[in-house]
Amino acid sequence: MEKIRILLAFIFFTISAIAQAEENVQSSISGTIKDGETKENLIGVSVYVEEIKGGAATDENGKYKIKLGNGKYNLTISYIGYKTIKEKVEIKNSKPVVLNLTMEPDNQELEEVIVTGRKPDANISEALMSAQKLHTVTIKKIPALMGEVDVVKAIQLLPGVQSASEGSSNFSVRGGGTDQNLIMLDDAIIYNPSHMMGFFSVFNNDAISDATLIKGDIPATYGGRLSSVLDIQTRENTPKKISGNGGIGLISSRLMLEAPLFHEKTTVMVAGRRTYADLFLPLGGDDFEDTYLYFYDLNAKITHKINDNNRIYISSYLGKDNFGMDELAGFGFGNMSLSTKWKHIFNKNLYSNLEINGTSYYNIRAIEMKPFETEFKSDVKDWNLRYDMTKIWSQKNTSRFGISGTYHRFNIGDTEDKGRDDVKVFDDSTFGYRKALDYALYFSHEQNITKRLTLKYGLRLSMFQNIGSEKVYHFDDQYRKIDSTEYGKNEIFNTKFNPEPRIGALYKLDAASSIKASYSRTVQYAQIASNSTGGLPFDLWIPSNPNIKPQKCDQWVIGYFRNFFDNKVETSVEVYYKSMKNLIDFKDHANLFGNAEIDGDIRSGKGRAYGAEFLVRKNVGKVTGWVSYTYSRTYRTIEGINFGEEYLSPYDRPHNFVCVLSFDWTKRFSISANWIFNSGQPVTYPFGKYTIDNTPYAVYTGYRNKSRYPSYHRLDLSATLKTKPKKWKKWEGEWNFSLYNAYGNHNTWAVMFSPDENNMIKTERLYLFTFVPSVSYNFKF
Amino acid sequence: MNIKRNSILLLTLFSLFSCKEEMEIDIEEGDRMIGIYGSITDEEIKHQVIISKSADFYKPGNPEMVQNAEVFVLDNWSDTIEYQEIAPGVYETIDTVKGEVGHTYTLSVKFNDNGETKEYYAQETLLQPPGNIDNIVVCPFSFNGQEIDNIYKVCPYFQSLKGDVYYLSKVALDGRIVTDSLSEYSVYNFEGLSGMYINGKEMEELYDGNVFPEWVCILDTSKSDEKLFHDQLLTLYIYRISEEYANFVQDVQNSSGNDPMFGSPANVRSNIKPQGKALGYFYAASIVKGDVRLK
Repeated sequence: MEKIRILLAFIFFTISAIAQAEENVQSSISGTIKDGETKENLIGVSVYVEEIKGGAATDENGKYKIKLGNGKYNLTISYIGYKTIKEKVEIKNSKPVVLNLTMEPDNQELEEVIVTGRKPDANISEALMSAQKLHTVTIKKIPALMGEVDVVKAIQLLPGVQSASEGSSNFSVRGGGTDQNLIMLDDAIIYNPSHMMGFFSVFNNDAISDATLIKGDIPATYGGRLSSVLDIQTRENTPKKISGNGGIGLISSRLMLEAPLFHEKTTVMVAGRRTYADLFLPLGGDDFEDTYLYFYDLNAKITHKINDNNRIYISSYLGKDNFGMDELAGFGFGNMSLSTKWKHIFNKNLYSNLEINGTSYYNIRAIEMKPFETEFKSDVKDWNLRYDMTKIWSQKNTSRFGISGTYHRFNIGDTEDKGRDDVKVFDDSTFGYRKALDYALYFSHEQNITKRLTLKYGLRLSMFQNIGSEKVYHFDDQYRKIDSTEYGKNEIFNTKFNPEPRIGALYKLDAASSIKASYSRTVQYAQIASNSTGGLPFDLWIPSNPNIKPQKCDQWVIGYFRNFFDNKVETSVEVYYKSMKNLIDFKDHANLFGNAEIDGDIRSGKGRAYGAEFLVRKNVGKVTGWVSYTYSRTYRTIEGINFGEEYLSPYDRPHNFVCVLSFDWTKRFSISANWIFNSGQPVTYPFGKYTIDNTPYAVYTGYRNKSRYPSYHRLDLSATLKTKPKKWKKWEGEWNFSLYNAYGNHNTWAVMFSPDENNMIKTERLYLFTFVPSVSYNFKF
Repeated sequence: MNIKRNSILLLTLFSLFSCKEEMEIDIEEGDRMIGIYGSITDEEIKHQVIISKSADFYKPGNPEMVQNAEVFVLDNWSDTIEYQEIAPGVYETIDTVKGEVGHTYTLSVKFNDNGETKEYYAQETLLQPPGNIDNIVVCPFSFNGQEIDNIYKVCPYFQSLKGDVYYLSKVALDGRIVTDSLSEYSVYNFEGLSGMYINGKEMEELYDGNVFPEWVCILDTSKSDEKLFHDQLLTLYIYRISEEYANFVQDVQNSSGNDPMFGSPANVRSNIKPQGKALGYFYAASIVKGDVRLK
């Protein structure tokens, strides 16, 4: 009997072991996911397996594959703009399961996902750090100045990003200057992202798809700026019929239309926007009767699918601002860009992009008073050619490499007499053109060394050359002009060659946390000739040359990333240090306007910045948003400024706290709020006054930025109410109510001194925007 | 064109959205700076140099004057013009002096400041004056065809000099200078009109009836000392000055403070050396003047 029990036990355990072994044999679930209406493959769809707390995302062909053993699994398939699918799957006998799916568009605003287009655990599993992606859905929820949703204002709420000044579209990233951000729209550079003195950016939220901000760990594919990359892509939807959206607000109105052409192989998107602020100006009284103030912009994009392996994109942007007083003076400025791209898929592991991009930024100052009608114009034009390839060696090894060349033409300034043809008050003149070429060859590779460790490494080799004809002035140690060199037409000079290594690593501690680190060297060959911190519409860009060395930055970053509650909550802390060389600043009383010898007013030196960024973000559920705190410092040491001693950069803000929250109360009603707190910006205050002929004026020690404005804080609120959807109507509308600076804090924009009636100096604070309400109606069809 | 002058438009735009309120600021600590302000002109008068120190920013009252200084001016590096202290900090030439066009005047100041000897100097050349003022017209100021209440423009008729030439204007009523503070001085050049006869026929044709005649000074009759009456004697002074002094006056007039548009403020430019150690200016100017009896 005993022997029988032992035998039965042996048989039982043997069978169990065999069963267990069978369970551990790897099988898989795979498939292709397409759009239910257009049948297009969907890229980046999240396929999440509850049982393993992980999953995969579809690749560029819409395919996914997840290795699993025998068993029953619950899958959640989600993608922005589409209805989420839940599937139960069983793997038996190690037989792989093929699960092909189609997803239906979701016309309702999604309840989930603030940062989208990524795997749910991307925060901990993607090697790229210091990067944030914002989708238009997120941007729309954020309360906005005068109701104008704006991608640039939204990214200014991210950790490590500061607005240059109240209401400005210029921004500083990790202590860098406002000209150190590479801002691109469909891969074309945008030199000035501002409309209407920066109150709005040039990016129409209806026309864009998403925006990615990279603050450090900049991939080798990007170059030319020290501090960040803001990569904005316009929409690439493939509608089956004409659709669109738009809005009517207090300040501007906009309309975006998309339509298929040629048997749905081609899609056209056109979006336009115009402000009518000038209609309200006469309400300001007679003083503003002859004032004009408006901006408009147009985006257009054509996407054509030649076949499954070839697509062509042509995208263009045109924007313009005008401000002035009739028959007195006026300003005008604008951006134009054209991007063309041919995307070719050689096979599932190799694809390429060939791009030709052009960009132009100009500004005009005009005197309109007779007989002195004159126009002063400066501009910058770029033409860029780029060829880029991505090779997927395996799931664990991906390379990217390419070559890029850009021709720049900087017009320092032209003056043209626009008065009577028979009488010339001014001679037409030019302060000169500065032309340059910059090239780059880059390579990067990402490799999963082990399950936990991923390394990425790359190198960008950049080269820069000036091209004549140009007269370059030379200066002695005291910045006095001593002589000059004339370079002939198309003569190449001042060749600079710079290797820019980029290295990063990811170490997964467990399924919910990881550590990342990176180092990047970036080089910048063009900069703004301006000492304005807030940005001016007539900022002038100038290239490096024998007097202005390329700026360089080394940035080290390390971070800890942790997700909670099944990736519903992401947290991170990143610590960075930046060391910058050849930074430029300007001497006191620099002549930055129409100055052919501007190089003599430039001073150069070095800078350093460091900080820690803490972020908690909730992406799903009724309540979404983020809370961030950044501690950061930034300094400069520039010869001839502040007596050669280190001083605070104008972008130094030790404390920055941001809270962005959105609550979907019901399917039709949602509310949002932001609260922002910043340390005040550094400022130079006088120490005394000196009086001449009954006029007192402020006297300074010569040290810069030793004082600080009061702290900045404000609360913005908004509420969105969707109109009741009707099944038979394709039209959907919503009302948005917002209140900017809800408790009316007087945030200092400027401090002005003026003599009072007793010839004492009076100090006044200038502040903008308190209690700014707005209402707008948005629609889509 | 000057960025700061064009900034009037930018500030106008910001004024649509902005408000002002008085505030006190935490001022920097700093040692008082010496200020020297004086001139030599081609008028035969006793010329003055005023030496004082900067005062606390919010402190009312008069500044501290520098007494017992040795002050003299070298005329073309040879002749010495002596000064004497006639009031605390106010130094005047002992005799009347008439500056000569083309001569370079070098100011020297030396004094003891709390046991330390301090020396300063400055230099300017007296430049050729414009043509005599043949006539003066005073008329209401208008913009876009609309007259501006209480604002009058003073329009001279005279031959301007060719080139990049800078002028400064002052107005006196019945012998009393009314635009008597640096903030009220009018500093200008004629840009594309240099070398023309100002407000002559050629210019009238050029203006084609717009904003004519050209003005060099503005009076605000809402101010008690600038009210205009019948039979008043209005005297217009046009100074020919150096570009550097023009920059100095404009720096003082534009030294409005801190704003994000124009970067860090800095001390008003001065020609007092050693550079950066003193405030003020020593200028040389030739003057033409004209009178008109108001009707």
